[in-house]
Amino acid sequence: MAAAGEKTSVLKGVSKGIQKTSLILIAVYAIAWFINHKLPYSDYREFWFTANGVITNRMIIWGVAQLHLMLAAFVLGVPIFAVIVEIVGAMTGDSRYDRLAKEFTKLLFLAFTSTALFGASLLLGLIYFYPKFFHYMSGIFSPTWTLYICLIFGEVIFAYTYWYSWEPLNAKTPLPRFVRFILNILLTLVCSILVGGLLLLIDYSVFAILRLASWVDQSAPFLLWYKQPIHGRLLMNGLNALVGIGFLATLVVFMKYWSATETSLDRKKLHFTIGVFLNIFGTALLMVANSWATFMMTPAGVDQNGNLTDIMHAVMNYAWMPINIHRLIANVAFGGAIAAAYAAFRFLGAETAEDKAHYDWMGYTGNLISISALIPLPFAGYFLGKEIYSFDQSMGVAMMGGIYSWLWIIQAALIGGLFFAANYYLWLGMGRIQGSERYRGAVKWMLFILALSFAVWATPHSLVASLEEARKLGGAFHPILGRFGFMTYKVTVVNFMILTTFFSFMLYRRSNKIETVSWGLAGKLIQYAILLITAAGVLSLGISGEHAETQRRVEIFSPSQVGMVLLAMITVTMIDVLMYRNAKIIGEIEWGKMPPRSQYALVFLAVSFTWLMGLMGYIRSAIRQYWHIWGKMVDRSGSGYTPTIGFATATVSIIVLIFFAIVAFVFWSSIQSEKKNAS
Amino acid sequence: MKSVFVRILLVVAVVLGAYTYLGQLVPQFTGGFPPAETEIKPNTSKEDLVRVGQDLVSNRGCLTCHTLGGSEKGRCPNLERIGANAATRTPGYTAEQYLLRRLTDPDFSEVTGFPKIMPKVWQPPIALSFAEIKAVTAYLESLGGKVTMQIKPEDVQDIAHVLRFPDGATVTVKKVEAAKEIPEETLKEGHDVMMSLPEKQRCIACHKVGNEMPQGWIANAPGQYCPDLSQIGAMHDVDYVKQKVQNPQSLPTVTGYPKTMMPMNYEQLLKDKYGAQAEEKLSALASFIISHRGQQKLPPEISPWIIGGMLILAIILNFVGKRGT
Repeated sequence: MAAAGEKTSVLKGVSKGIQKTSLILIAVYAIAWFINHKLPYSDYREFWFTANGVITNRMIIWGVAQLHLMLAAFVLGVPIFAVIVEIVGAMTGDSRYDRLAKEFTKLLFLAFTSTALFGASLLLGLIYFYPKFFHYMSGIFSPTWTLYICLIFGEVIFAYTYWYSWEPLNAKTPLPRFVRFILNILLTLVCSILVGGLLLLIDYSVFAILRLASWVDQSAPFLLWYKQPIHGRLLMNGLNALVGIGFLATLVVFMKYWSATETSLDRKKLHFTIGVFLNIFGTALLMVANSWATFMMTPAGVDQNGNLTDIMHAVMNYAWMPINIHRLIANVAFGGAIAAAYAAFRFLGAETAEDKAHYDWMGYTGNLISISALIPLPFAGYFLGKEIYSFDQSMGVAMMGGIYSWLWIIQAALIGGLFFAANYYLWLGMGRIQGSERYRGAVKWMLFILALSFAVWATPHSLVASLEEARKLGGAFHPILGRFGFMTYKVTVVNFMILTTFFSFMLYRRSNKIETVSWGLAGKLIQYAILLITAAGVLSLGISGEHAETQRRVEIFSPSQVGMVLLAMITVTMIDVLMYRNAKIIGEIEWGKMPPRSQYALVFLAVSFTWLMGLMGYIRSAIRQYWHIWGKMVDRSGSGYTPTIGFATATVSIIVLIFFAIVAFVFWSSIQSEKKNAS
Repeated sequence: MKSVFVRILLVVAVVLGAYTYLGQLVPQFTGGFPPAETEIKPNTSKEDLVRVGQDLVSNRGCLTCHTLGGSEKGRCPNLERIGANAATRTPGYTAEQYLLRRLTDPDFSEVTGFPKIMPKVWQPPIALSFAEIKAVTAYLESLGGKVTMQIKPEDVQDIAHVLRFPDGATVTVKKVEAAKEIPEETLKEGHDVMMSLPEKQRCIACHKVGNEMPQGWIANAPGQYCPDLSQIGAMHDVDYVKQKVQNPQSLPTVTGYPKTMMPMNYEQLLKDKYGAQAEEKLSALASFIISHRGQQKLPPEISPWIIGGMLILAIILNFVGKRGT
């Protein structure tokens, strides 16, 4: 009887979600039909207050699109780590993870409707304000619309099922053998794909370093051998074969693991499989929407006159895959940061020690996930920039060297702030771990490296100086500091910041542990040696990059730096995991014993992430300059120009403020519903 | 809870205020509106020509490096009085000739105190047409000088334009051939010619050519041994590729790549294989190569070696499994 009741509640929940979504879609369709058929056609339409006022069509679309993106990023990012946290909870048997995953999912749930409403407003705004542009885009992408609507319903069904089935699927009763078999296969595939991605990353990193080695001008026998295309290719094919072997081996290992799990976990497995499908639908939604946005930047699949020649080329345009990767990772970082801010808010208001401990731990976990996702983001951004240059150099030049170049200086200040705050939070966190005093001496050195890196990153490429100042300097560059404006040094220091943050986390992790393995000392020395060699390699490549040809620097030096850092982080983590298995615990982590300023650091991180997202969204869109669609459709509305950076940053701040007002409302609703349930 | 909320709100406001303030500290530039759609014709007036030229200068990235008035020193010279100064720069040259030479062959002389970083404006990424170059020249003449530029009927034609200068130098301004103008059959023929060559001498054995990959993306990342040709159509024409195939040493090697990598025997190979048709086949091959303008991109393929590796392990596991039973 109870099971039937649970099934009914799940079905009720899902049908509620479907009804709500259908209602929004029907309303959008009706309004869109009215605008298209009842209002007079014009290339651009205005509202009375947008024609001559401060608020223009562009500002409305800008604000609505950015708010939709931020909310969607939260809605798509949160389920990724909610599922990961839930799986970790099931694997470790620690019920705190399950509570955390559920709490995250509840936040997601509350943001769902606002995301849909802003999405609907964006669509209607485009139809009303930019009819010519919208008709062209809908003509090109009409086949993807049906897919998008199907994906929305898929997302809604899985999201509501995931939420409403949480408690029913916590039951310990086993499932039929066939269902269990299917679940094991699905989970094996998901885990193997994740490990496969990691293997490909290692493969890429080794390959990047080998390519660098093939360029080093010395007569080492290996390099001479590798320089022969046939040998180089043999080596690379061997590496690829190893990836294949590794992938299949992980398949076998995970199949064994999941088959061996207790049958009492069957229902939990079913639950996180639903979560996995929720993420698959969410990612697919993101990718479809990205194809529209990236087509505007780097159009493909259309002829000189803009007529569609190939829909698949239009979808898979130059910027599509880099943006997919960049947004997917950024969504996780962003979702983590917002969840950590929520935890900070609850921590600061918590009255019991138990609540304080829980929200401290929640903030830590959210921040950890966020920072882990932040680390690969610069690499993904580099990939995107490279693809923009590949598509059209003039777009790349405008982005990095034109009027947008100063935006990168602002971005540098923000990224610097993010790394500082993330490390500061970790260092404060070490204070609640007994045994961490052993590593506190390292903090000042890490701070020194971070500060130095930040200073280099924030050095402009060419100073805008008066003639008199320029004469004193002897040119537009400062004789000493000017060189730090070169991209080669900026790429170098961002790698240093990443390595430093990684090192901070490594020390945090081992704060209350002493390794018990016999090779502990050797392991530590190897780890430090790997990090030092990597730092030296990154630095020497950075210095060499100053005098290298751009092509060599972009194609070989920078990817090698990235490859070295990635390999170092992967190998050091692997050694760490093996070294600290069965480690001796010398002190407890006193969750909840964190100074309030640490929580404000979390709030700072969330605000900075959101603002950074707004700024980067602006740059991505603004590099189209006066084009709706680059090279295909000119923006002849009154807003077809690039505003000043001051105006753009103020607009971004207003958008972020509105976003946080919505988020505050979501948090408040969550607390109110908790209180209602409690009473 | 209320006081916590207020304090957090304060932190949010302070952080947002600081970032907004930071945005006001940097130089405030704005990008221009799109240029008016004026077609340059032989009878276009000098005023219209100057206006079109001004739009081109504002919107094609010239002001990324050059400055126009003010006291700021840019990476490249200030153009404020260029119309007056141009006539004094190179002996024997008028302002119009100097500006045309500077735009089409920028390395012909140095401007003291500035690096040689000016690109040829008729080549990508700027890729101005000949008539547009003349419009830019007219605008630059108008900056302190007298506009002499006129558009002749042949200037708007899609042909190679030869500019002759007082010191005997000539510069040929030629539109880069667009990929879409190459017939489908020629592209297929060119592809077939490439694939008919011995496996190790096909272009794709060393170069990356669009999505033509003998192995997966990891094995053939661009820039490994020879330049990536996926965008060559945006930079060169069929004749360039033909010359590079026939006599690789006759043209400069792309910076950063070994000089002797490209084999010298392609002309002979094609003659041996196609006899009298060799020239025609070479043209088809060059057309196929030049059709890659980097405007389309498909997702990377997974290397067959990755699949191969999986197969090897599957076979090993199968044997191990059988022994076990």
